[in-house]
Amino acid sequence: MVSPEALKLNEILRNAPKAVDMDLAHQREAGEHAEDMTSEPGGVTYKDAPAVGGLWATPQNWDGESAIVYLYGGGYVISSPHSRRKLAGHLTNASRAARSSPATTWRPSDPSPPRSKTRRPITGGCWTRGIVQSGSS
Amino acid sequence: MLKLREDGTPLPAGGVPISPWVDLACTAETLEANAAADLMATKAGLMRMAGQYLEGADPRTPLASTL
Repeated sequence: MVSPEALKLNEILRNAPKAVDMDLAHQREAGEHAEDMTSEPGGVTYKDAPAVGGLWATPQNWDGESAIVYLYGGGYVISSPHSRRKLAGHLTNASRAARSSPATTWRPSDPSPPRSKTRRPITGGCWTRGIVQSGSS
Repeated sequence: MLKLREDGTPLPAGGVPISPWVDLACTAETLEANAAADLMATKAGLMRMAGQYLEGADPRTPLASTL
């Protein structure tokens, strides 16, 4: 049984302009509103992570050790840690792990090898058994 | 994570991809078979975004397409 809420969301998305079909400027503008319709995760505190241009999200029941490096979606072309903050907040609540959502250099504009440049300050030598990497497309 | 492994960097405890984009060449038949049902993406739009990201790089390079 599909919920009325799910049917409404389906209708909204079906009739909304598709970001992938917009020009780059409008894609990026739309990407900043990707989570406008989603719920706010409860009990999560956010703090800037300036060293990587991202955010730390900490749940109330954090175990004090675990962490998730969450690389947000947007095809490395659009979106930002702030625009994808809620999903990562829900993820951190569900896992009881603090999470960082690092800024990813947008392309086109950055000639670095795909998917490697901004991860290095985060990942270089800092992995422990309690750190997991996650992300969306 | 492939890049970390290539560089000899210690790896994380695990990886959890959520709807990962692992085929930047957009070769999957389902891109067309499921086109009418897809609420978010079109093949043409995805190929354009892949081009913006790759900036001339081979879409089949393992660092871009892990499929």
